[in-house]
Amino acid sequence: MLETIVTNLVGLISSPYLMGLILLAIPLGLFFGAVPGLGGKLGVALLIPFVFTMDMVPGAVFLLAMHAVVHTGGQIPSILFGVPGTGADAATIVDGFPMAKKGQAGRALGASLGASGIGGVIGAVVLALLIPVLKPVVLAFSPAEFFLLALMGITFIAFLSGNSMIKGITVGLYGLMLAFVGMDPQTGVPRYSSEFLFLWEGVDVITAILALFAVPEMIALGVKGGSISAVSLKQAKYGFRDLIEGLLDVFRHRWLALRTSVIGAVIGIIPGLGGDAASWICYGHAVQSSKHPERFGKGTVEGVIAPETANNAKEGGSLLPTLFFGVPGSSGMAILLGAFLILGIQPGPALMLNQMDLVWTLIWALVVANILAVVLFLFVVRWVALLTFIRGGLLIPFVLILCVLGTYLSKGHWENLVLLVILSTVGYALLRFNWPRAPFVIGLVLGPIAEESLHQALALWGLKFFLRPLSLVLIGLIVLTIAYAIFRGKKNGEPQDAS
Amino acid sequence: MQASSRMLMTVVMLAIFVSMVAIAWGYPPKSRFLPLVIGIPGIVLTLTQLLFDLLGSQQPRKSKSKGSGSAFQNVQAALSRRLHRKVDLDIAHEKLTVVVQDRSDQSASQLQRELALFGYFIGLVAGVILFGFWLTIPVFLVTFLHLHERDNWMFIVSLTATAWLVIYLIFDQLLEMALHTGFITEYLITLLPE
Repeated sequence: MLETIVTNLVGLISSPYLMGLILLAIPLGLFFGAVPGLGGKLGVALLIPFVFTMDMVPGAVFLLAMHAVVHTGGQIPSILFGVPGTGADAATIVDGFPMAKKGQAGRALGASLGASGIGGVIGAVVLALLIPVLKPVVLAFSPAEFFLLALMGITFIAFLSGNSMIKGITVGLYGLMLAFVGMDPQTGVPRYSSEFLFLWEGVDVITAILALFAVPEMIALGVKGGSISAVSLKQAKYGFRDLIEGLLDVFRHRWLALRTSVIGAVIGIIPGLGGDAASWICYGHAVQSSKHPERFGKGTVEGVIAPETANNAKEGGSLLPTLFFGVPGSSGMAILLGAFLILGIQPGPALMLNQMDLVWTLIWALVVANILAVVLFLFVVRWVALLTFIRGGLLIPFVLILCVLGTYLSKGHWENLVLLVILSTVGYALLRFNWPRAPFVIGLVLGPIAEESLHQALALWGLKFFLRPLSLVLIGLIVLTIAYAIFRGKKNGEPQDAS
Repeated sequence: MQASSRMLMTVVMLAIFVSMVAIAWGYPPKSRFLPLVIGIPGIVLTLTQLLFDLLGSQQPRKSKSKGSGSAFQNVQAALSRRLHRKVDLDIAHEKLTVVVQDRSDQSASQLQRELALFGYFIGLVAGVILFGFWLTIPVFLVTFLHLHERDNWMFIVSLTATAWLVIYLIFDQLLEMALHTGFITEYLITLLPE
């Protein structure tokens, strides 16, 4: 076993061809992550024709390496402009963008890079460790547990509610209500979508996130004037030292990074829970477990570390069911699964018996791609951070164009542009009157998962699903989370703002 | 003004929840179950928030800080009340300056800027829908940079041309993505002789 692991690592790093492919895949992954509306799914889909003629191993390594670093690229626009590259990167905005406003873009990017790298490596380690005990872990999760996990994520709204829990929960419920827009998965009845076909598949998450975060921030910047960074270029921290400072922050908060990486990887393993959920659940966990929850939403580094570790760790986790059960852990993995099939890889339990060499090469490719992405990025990113000092008036039109492009590209419906305007108005009103915005996204992301799995669980077990052993554990955790939120709210008695 | 705006926001949220719950009544029982489970507490919470907003606007604001700092704030607040305007006392070094800003002027100018920026944004979206990305992007950039930022023409033209070229090369040539061409543009293309 150990020999196989080491041989495959040596085989990978000593092959100029494979390393060259990884080096080529990294900038592509960063690009697909950084441009809103593109993302890893589209990246894999667009690159399939190029790997069609490749051998199995190089083709799989190339696609996996590209897919693994997509979220490392997505953090750049999230932190610098409040524009998420993908839905999963939205949680990084909540604290990353305020850090950029405070002139700490360098530190935020450093922390985000470090967290992405560590998350990616830990995700691969979790994948490796779980291989022997894989089957019982995956089978332990049924729709009942999916529902309760989604419910647990929704309870984190209580921690992200800022200075008014009522406002936070209201906005969270509003997000949940919008999650019900579209075809009801149970009955097939179109809800709140009438004759509008583009709404039948639900409110597009990318459109909603751009409308709630990116557009309002740009309008606010235009109204305020100046640049994104509130401090001058001379006083700001964007140098190499600040990037390293950010990287060291990950080690200062090593236990948080470790916990959120493991949570992210586990969420990635569970098919159907969705990648976007991982970053929000981990962000909620960071707020819940922090000694200073009042700092979240105002630009605290833990708020950047938690979602970024989760984002990259979940890639390792989601590879597990994709490879060994042929069940993709996320929508991105579903496309990757198709690409693997084209390359001649037959996912399934037989892979564990016959092609462990390939499995270990892929695991190492994940580790190497994540580490190389951090190293490569470290030398470029400080110059990217300078964008926060550009005159706002010059940045606003480009970011607005990026938002409109991202909205259109995410689903290809022009009608989503109208939705972008409507939701941007709501988003700006929330920003203007100090209503928190993060709970909205939690509601929107976790709502469909909660609804679908609730109906499935009810159909399978009726109300008895609440009495399943793992369900009881999760219910206990939910009750503890709510009780802790109330207790800490009373104890602190001071305002927080996680908008 | 600020209190009524705050209340307006809560009223809008209430209206959204009430309409969504009302619409949900028309769905089959299984389809309306969760929208009602979520929507009704949403109505209760927004009503509670509305009550807080109403009570908050009727009560005088309590001073947050106690001690030596509050005397300064009291003077500032008293002057503001007396002049019916926002008064900022700026005590810097050995100089005492009193900056008087008209609150209504300030909020009017903010509203004007907000409306202008929303106007540009809506213009961009409407332009893309009607004329497509390729025509709207340069027109929007030139309009924004000229009217809003008052940059010089040389800078505007070179920046717009570069941005358009980068977007075209990436999305059209490299990724071969079909961006929306716009309804009016499409119609005009059909009128052209073959």
